[in-house]
Amino acid sequence: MFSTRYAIPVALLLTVTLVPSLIHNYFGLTVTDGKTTNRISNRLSDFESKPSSRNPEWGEVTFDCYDWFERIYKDKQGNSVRLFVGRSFDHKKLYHHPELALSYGNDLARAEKIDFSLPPEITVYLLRANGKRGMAAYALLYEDEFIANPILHQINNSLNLLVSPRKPLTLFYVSDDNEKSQALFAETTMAHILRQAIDDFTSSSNI
Amino acid sequence: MSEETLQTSDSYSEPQQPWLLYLVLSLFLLVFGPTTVWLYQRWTMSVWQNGHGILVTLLVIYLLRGELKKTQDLARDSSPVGFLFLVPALLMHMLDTGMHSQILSAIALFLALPGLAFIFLGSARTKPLLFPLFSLFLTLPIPLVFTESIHFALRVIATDSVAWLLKLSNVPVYATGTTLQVEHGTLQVADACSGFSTLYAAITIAILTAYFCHSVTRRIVVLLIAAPLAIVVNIARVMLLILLVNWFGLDVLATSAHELSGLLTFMVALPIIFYIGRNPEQPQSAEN
Repeated sequence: MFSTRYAIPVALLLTVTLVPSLIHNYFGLTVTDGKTTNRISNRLSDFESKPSSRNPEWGEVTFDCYDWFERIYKDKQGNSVRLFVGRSFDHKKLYHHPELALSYGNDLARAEKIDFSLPPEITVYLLRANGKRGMAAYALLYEDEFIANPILHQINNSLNLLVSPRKPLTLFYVSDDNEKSQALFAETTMAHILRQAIDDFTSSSNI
Repeated sequence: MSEETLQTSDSYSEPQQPWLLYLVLSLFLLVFGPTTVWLYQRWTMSVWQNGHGILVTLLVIYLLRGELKKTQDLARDSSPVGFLFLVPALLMHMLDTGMHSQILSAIALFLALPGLAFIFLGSARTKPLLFPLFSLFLTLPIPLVFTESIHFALRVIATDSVAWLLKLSNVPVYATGTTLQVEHGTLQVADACSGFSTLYAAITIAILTAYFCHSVTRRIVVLLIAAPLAIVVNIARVMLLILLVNWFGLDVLATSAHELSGLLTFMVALPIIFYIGRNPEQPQSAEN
């Protein structure tokens, strides 16, 4: 019943397809850059932090992060900002609506994508609460560049990954439930914490 | 010499190389093994999500077997048309190994199957297999971003309908948004209770049933009735759960009754679709 006329070209095509499958689905090859979230200081300017109440496995289960923390940074005036930083080889888990996991229950709407004016240029995705106080923002760092278009990044990255191991994506997520939802982001405490956290992280030396 | 004889002699001249088939099968399983495991996990995750996946796949295997039996007397043949399916499918799969979306790879898997059928079975055998093979796409998990609004609409329909039915039955109820408050508890009609999985399964089964039904009227009826039937059955299920809560308290939702009620929607809706879409009995001939 079966004809083997084209079996050899089909076998060749499948063999070529098997190469990225072996690298990513079977061996799960990865390469790290030596950077770690631990480099981000517990104290940023006047803000002291303490870990949030997440379970130790939460970041791994939710975002497949191999390195992550979530801290609450507070100053003496009682202003508080929540900062999550996580690194994962599964990029989609990090960039695909991280607010659904990190600001669960808050009705946040994607407001805009902005670039910090001072170098390094950081593309920040801003989310504002609907009808009440609250704001969140996040940035995505891959190698030494901030991702402006995650989907395009994912497609380009996938082409590069055909014969190479995965590299981690880093998510920086800040949120402040008391911030006025219409506030100018660059003037918020969140922006300040985010900038400092990124500076700490990017200044960590490669191993 | 007839065309059939030519085809037969040509096909029989092809050397038998079963090891090549085993090689291709092994490579295919290696390439799509992780995708198959992922699909199986999604199909068996819970009755609220893609529960029809396995049922439809088994049905497709049964249909494929039947169609292949009908064409078993045809000579061996192959068609390069299959590469038009196979090559994009494999490219899609390769792209997904880096993206890890899994859904793209699952689409690639279902796209590769007709390709392989053309290549290894030929056009004549593959044509009757195309519909069952393409119906496998209806087992794919739909990303939440596409279903969120449908979930919400179904939840509102279920809540409003059950509130109306409870009032008709003289059961005191207060409904707001997708929440129902009765004497012994307050319930939220969540995404899982929206009936989306029953709706998806009913539409899939209706399409398959309509395809194999010889009566045009029955085909139209079965396609038209699938969605309303699934919604009505789910409303009945939510109503039943609310009444159970009203009689026995909220703890009843922590029992197997909750999950069984989900299964019950499939057990009611799908046989009705099969029944409506069955082939009408042939009138006996005058001789008989």
